[in-house]
Amino acid sequence: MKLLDVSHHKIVRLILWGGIALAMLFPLTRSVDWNQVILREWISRVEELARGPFRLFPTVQTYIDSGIRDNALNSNLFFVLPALLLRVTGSISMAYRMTMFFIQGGTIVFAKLFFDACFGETESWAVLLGAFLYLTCPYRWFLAFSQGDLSMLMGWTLLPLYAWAVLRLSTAEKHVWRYVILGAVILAGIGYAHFVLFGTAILLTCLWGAFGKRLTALLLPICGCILFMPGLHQLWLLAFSDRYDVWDLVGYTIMPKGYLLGDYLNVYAFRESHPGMGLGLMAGLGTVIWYRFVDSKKNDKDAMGFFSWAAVLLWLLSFRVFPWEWLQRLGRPFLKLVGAIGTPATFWGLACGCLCVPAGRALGMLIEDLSGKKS
Amino acid sequence: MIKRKIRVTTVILSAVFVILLFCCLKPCKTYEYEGNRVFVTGAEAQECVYKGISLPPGVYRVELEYRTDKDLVAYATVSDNTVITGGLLTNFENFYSHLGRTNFEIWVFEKTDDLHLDVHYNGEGSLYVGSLVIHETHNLWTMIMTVYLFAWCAGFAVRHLIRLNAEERLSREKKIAIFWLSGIVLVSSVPFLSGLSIPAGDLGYHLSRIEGVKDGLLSGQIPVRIEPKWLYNHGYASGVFYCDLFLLFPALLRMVGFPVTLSYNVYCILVNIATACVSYGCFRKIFRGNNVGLACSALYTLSLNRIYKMCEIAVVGEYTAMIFLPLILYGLCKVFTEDHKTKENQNAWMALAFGLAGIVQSHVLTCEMTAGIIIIFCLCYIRKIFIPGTFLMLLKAAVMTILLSLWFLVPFVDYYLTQDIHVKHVSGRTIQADGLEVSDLYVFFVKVGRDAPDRKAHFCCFGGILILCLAVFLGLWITGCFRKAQDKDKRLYSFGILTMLLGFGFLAMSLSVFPWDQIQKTNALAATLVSNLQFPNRFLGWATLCAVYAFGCCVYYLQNNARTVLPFVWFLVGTNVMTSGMYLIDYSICNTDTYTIYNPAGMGYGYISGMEYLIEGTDYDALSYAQPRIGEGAEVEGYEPKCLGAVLTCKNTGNKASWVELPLMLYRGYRAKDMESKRELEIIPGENQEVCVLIPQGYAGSFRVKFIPPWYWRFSEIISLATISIFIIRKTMAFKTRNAKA
Repeated sequence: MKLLDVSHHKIVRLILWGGIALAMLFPLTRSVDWNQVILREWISRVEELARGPFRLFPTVQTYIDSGIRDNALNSNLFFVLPALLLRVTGSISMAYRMTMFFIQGGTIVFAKLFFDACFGETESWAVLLGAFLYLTCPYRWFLAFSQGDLSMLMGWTLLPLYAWAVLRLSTAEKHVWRYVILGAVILAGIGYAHFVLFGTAILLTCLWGAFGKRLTALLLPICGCILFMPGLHQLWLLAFSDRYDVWDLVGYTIMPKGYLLGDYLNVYAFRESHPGMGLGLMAGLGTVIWYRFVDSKKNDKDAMGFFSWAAVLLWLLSFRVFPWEWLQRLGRPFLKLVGAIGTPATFWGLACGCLCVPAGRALGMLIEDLSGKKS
Repeated sequence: MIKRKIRVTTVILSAVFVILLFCCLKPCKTYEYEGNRVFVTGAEAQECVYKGISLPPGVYRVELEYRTDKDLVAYATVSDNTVITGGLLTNFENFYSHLGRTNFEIWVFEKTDDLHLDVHYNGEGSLYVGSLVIHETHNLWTMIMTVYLFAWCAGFAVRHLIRLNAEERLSREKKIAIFWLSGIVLVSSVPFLSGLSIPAGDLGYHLSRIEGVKDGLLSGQIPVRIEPKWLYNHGYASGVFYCDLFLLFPALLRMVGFPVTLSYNVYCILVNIATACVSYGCFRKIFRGNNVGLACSALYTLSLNRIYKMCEIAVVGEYTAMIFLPLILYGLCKVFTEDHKTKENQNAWMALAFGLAGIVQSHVLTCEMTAGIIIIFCLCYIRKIFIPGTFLMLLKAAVMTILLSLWFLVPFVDYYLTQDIHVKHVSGRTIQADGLEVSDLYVFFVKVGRDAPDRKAHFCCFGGILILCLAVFLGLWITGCFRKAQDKDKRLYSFGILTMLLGFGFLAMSLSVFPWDQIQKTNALAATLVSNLQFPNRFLGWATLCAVYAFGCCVYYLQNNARTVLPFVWFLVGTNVMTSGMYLIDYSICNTDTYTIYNPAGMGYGYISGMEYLIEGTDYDALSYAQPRIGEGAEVEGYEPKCLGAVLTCKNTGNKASWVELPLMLYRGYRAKDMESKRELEIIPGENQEVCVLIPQGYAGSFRVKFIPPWYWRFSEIISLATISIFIIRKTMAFKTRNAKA
């Protein structure tokens, strides 16, 4: 059925990309809510760095002073830019807005890069819609404008770039080491942004490498860990020393912060810092199921299957009944490491990110079908 | 190879089933702990009275012995910091002066060695806490067995569906229907997927009904007429006036061991499934189209009115009755618009019969309104009624409805005519002030919970899209679009015109400007009928259905005359559902404080909402757990309370007749018999409408007080059971005959 004859109009897609970029940057023009929970942590770290000297990891005192334990193990690497901006402009608001501008802009560029690598040139609508879903993911917006968690947001910016590097590595026949080094640097960057995202990225890379028999991909976690050695050292100190005991992670359980079944389906409101998947992803997943069940179209791309299963795994990790407390009983290091995750909701956010791949593709196929093109 | 796989799978599944069955039957253990603690009067305290309790996973009943001279001065609760989150589920139980021991359930999902029992005391009255006995039950295994059987059935159904799909025996139309209906059910069930309860208006009352059905069944009362533990073991005849048939399922889940909130949430999901499927089936058959059936189902199931009634005020009877309203409309449409000689039309009376029977047995008020609407339809189609075929179908529907509902109607009419219950004295209750404002009808984004503006207590909503449906249909009619239609379509549109007019009428009746107060003043019957309605928003259920029918007619017209507009229509429906409906659903669960009730002690046994079915003259505030009161000269040597009864050993040493008053609400049907001579003792109303047994002078012996339903109640139950059984047998035989011929 030829309902929308837009498939060959590149200009339409360009306009939509422009619209997406405007939508991403629009919130920066509004006043900032400085009471966002984790933004206070960001401010104290930026101010500490602006005063100097540079420390790769903040002092314990900084955290005690800010009163916030979240992101305790994240580095100061991505706070250098805002600290410099604060020093230059003297305005924390300007530093914040410019940092967010770079984050949002970077996410648009890296998301397009990744979805281009994922779908190729023949599926331009899938690229647009996949990137759109990723950029407008409710959990990402929650992090950006409700929590003010710029560390995690930085990780979300680098994740598509890392996924791009992994895809390129898997299909590259020449210059393999280029992608290994690039991927390792990006992976380390993710680690310096947020260690939970680093761990998740390593896990998914290993699964990608092992199940797809792409052994070169397994080089990335190794090289990434080497570059992230200072961060791993902090994790070591957390797990095996009493340096971070001031945060009292002993006995801290993350299970009550997990998602309940209905929480995943929320669109307009959410409970207990648990944003749902939103309308876009819901429509995308519905389209995936439609093509699979009603039209009996089978998946022909490895990446679709992998990201779908990755989303299922991450979804399970975010569920309230996932037995994190049993893991914590394995020993004091596990007790502290699991406690340092903070909340299983992080994994649901990443699951949404993974779901953007099959959802974007399905929606792209829908647009092509409605335009009368065969997919 | 495949057959071998199936055989192996079946053997494994059966073996697991047998193991679970064995676990359900194994003997249960009892854990006893001795102790005593006296709390100091005047000093608030929260103390751990028992700790270090070891229990394996299971569902247990906790009996803590206590003595207090005042009600509600303390409560007991169980906690454990060593089990996994969600590893221990329970609520607290209050202490009552005449109860003497707790009796609440705890769910333990992980072995524990450090269970605590704490007592919270507010300092008033005296309090002594004694020994503790924890009884293991089979409920953990029955729960697992239920989940296992459900998973087995669901897995079998899914596997069958996949096989049909793989063999291309599942038509595209059916796949589309399964897809969209699943989506509708999933979206409408979001508030019930989190294991939480929204503090909706009537929820406590209906949860108590479910508990009452469970307690009644466990005490051997089938069907449950008087909920035995309600009203502090006095018994409350909610089951006589408010049919509990559909609450059997959540009550069975409770009997199996599932917590209260979970049982209710599962029931709500089933109601959503039934509503979506029934409305789809009815509208698909009326408008002869799969897509229009699905769109109507979405509009109806996800209508603001229905979501509001389910989530915000939890009017269980009303939203259960909404399952059957489309059946009524379908039946009336088929009877009045089609030739009764066609095969399809010959069975239209069944839709009417089952629809009406379903409504009678879910919500009597909706039944009253539906009966009035059917009368209006009959009056409008009065010429058709005199056609023998049509008359016969309506008669069959009426007779079948009565036969199916007789088991409920007989006790209902019996008690309504012979018992002086409170609901017969509320004709002075006015309803006009609770009507809606005009703006409430076309609201799109409804704010509920913490963000709700200061509204009247019984606000409801309708939705702009449904008003638009009625308006568009009106526009098509006025502009003469239906004149060029074929005859059979014209009849459909004519029916739609009547439905549209009724829809506007119901909307008007739901408003605060409608002169309900004036109507109430006209005569006593009007006063009673209007008062019984309670809230004008009750008309919104039928208004929603009429609007959806109007929508179906519009789409049917567009399909035949202007197909190019259809994508816009589907877009409009989708937008409405995804914005308006989902907005209300999300805010219902997210913008309010929620709670979870595991055991009934967490909500108590005293709440009866508007006290409609209480015997007039009862002082509700004076009701509590109590011991028998004894008249002068009588001595009670033994008292054994039972569900809706008791066994007493007493004697009358005085020089005149005396009495013993039992803590049981005196509904008609209680009998007292001497256990040796079988002689009946007279029962009269006690001081607070309780059962008062007259003890003759010189009497010495044991007598039993028991609630015995009248013989004609039993007879009506047999008739209803026989009716449904004969119907099922006949349909099964007809189905087998058709298959054999094919």
